[in-house]
Amino acid sequence: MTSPITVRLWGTRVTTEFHYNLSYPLGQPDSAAGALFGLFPHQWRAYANHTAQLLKSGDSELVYTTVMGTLKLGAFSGSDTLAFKTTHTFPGILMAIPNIVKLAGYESLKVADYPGGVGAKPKTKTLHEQMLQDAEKPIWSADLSAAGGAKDDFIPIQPVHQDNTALGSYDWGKYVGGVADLIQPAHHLGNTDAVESAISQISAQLGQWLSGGLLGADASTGWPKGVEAWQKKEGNTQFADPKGKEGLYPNQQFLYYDQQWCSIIPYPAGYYAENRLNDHHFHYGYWLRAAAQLALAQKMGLDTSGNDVIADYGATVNLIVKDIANPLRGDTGTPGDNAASFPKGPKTPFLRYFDGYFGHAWASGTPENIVNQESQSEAMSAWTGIILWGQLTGNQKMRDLGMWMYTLSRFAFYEYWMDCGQNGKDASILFKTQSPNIQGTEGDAYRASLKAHATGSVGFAAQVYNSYLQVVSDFGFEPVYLTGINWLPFHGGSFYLSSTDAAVNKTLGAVYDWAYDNSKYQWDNKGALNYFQPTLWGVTWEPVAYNFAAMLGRSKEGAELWGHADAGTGLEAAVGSTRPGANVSSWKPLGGQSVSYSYFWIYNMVEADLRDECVTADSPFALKFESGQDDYYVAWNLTNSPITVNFSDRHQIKSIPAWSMSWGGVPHHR
Amino acid sequence: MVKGLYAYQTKATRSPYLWKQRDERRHFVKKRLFLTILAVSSLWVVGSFEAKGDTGSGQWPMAVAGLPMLQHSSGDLAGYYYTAEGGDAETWAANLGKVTPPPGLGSRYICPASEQAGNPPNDKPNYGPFVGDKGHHRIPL
Repeated sequence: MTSPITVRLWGTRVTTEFHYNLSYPLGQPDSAAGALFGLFPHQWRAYANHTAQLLKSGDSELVYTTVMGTLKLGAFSGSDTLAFKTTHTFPGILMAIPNIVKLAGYESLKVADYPGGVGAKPKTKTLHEQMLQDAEKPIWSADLSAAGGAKDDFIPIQPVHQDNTALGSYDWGKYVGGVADLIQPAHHLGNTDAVESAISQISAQLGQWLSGGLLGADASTGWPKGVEAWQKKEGNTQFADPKGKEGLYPNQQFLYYDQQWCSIIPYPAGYYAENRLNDHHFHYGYWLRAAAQLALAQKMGLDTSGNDVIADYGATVNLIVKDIANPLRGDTGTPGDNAASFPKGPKTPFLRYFDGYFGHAWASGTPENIVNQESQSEAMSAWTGIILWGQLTGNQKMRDLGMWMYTLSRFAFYEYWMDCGQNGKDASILFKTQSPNIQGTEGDAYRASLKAHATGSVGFAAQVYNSYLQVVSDFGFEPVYLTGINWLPFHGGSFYLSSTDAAVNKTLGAVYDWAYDNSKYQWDNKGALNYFQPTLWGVTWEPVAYNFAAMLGRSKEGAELWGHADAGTGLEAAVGSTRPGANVSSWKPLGGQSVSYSYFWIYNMVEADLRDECVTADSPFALKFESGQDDYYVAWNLTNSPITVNFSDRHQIKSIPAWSMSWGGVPHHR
Repeated sequence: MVKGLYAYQTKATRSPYLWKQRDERRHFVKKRLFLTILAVSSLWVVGSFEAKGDTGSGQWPMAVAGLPMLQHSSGDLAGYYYTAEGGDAETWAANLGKVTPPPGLGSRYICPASEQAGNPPNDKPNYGPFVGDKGHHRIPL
């Protein structure tokens, strides 16, 4: 029995059809036909009820109670292949958040003093200065937990030489994703130096890995496309031999097609992406978004080098998409097949990571039977990358594939990671109190269940397995680790985390509060608790908390907590504690998230307030923010001719020039 | 002799590692069957080695390591990726474990978080499946 999935997109509606093709290998029993199936919450809440034949006992539906929520029992007669349909709404994504708050670039902020390496002495910089530094010399993180600043407090990310810092595919991905995300904010601020620096560096980075040109290279090898300008700017004139000091080291960064698993494997890999095939969509998601940002910058004319990432490396990027999400069943491609036209190229499995029935991906690679996914937000980053790359390369089918996975994944996140169904609200669109199988009520029962040092069920999950859920991370137990791994990275596809839907906003806010409460509880009781490291917000993860908090529509609270982080009255000061010997009242980087990007994101997101769940548009690259005072409409034109975007509330943005963004604010009226 | 070899290998299926060795040997034997008379003499050596009941130390398959990786164009101006030799699963599986990893691969990778925590550099090579990482490959036969 197979269940081919048919996807149709109309406007922002994503319709998924589930078909069953039945066969009876041992012969069809007399008077028997069809099959029983279960509808998951993300399916029956999305109109599947109206299309499926649900089984009842009297007036009651037959259901199973599972860790994923209520499973409704349906029947398929076998008279037709269609069993049921679901209909979801695509919320819209952007290439970048606009400069709504009209930052000028001359705002000053206190930043951790890097790359000086002295953590106890913050510097005051302008946003322009910081953004240029973030583009030129990205920093992995600033660990200020040690007094006085120890060696390696600040971890510089040097693309080359790769001596001792040849990052694996995940960490490198976070790095290129973060630098690429700087291009549009820098452009909007008029910081041309930062724009050029980010473009030059991303071109070099992508060229190194996607060309495969470093394998077996020696001093006589030419630079791969896109690499030369950055290398020469750094003073490197040629490839280095393995023991040399100049240029690139050979045999680092290449792609390998494993013929047994039919997978494109990045080397050097990280986190078992090579020997267990784990997490490719997480890793490549960052790559894809970086490639899309570079492609857009080149179409906008911001890259003066003449490089063209689509012409130079477009087919290779297509292969990466195909590795994580091949829409073909029974693919027969062989190594060397031209991949310029997606999904051609060497064969890969049908949708290696995405599970169309569960509505989300499984990050597990080769493990059998028990599979899981931790960071739903990094999966959303991957689907965002596919959408953008498909659009920018003119491949609508690829774009729609990404939109389908993005849309189902967002609802799976609301259902299975956050469990918004516990938290129904009368005013909610998606989780109405009156609708069936909403377990929560108006009031604070759910919030109360998440208070500090709760030892029972906390109502959300950090990891979703195919048989259970758990609040555990793969890298530690700080409260912000357990929550923030499902928030990061913050990019133009992150706005599903911000919603005017009452239940979604309340649930996501409650999980943020849980992280805050438990961090404070640990900090206030340090020494008395038997925890291994009772730190506040976890080392270096403050930016994750700040960036997410900005999406909750708590503008007044936000201004007090993180809007003034640069003035020494930031979140950590607000809760009354600082780490011994550490400066905590300054902005800090974290891999994949630079200081200047966090600043730009937080201030503009606070002003934007919340994404309006009620309003959609006739373009995938448009959405509306709703605040108490002003509403902001934003639309990107990712085509080569002007367009007009129509919003479902009859607002219109006319004549948006090619490869550009328009936005406007209107007084809030409701 | 070949039948005897397979009969022996059937007994050696209790351990996944022996499964892997069995498969490598099977392909090794198949390959030799198509080679020259000189290769046939090698087959006798192999068969005798197995027939003595030695479960294999993993030494002899590596003795023929050194297959280069093949470069393939993705179809665009500058992008290339690599594979092992062989265009089908059987051939590729026969080459499993014999591909020479690029010099220095994985030797320079340091997890920033690890380094930041004061740990020594992570010099563990991350070769992965293309050189036959033990325990994670099952060969489709």
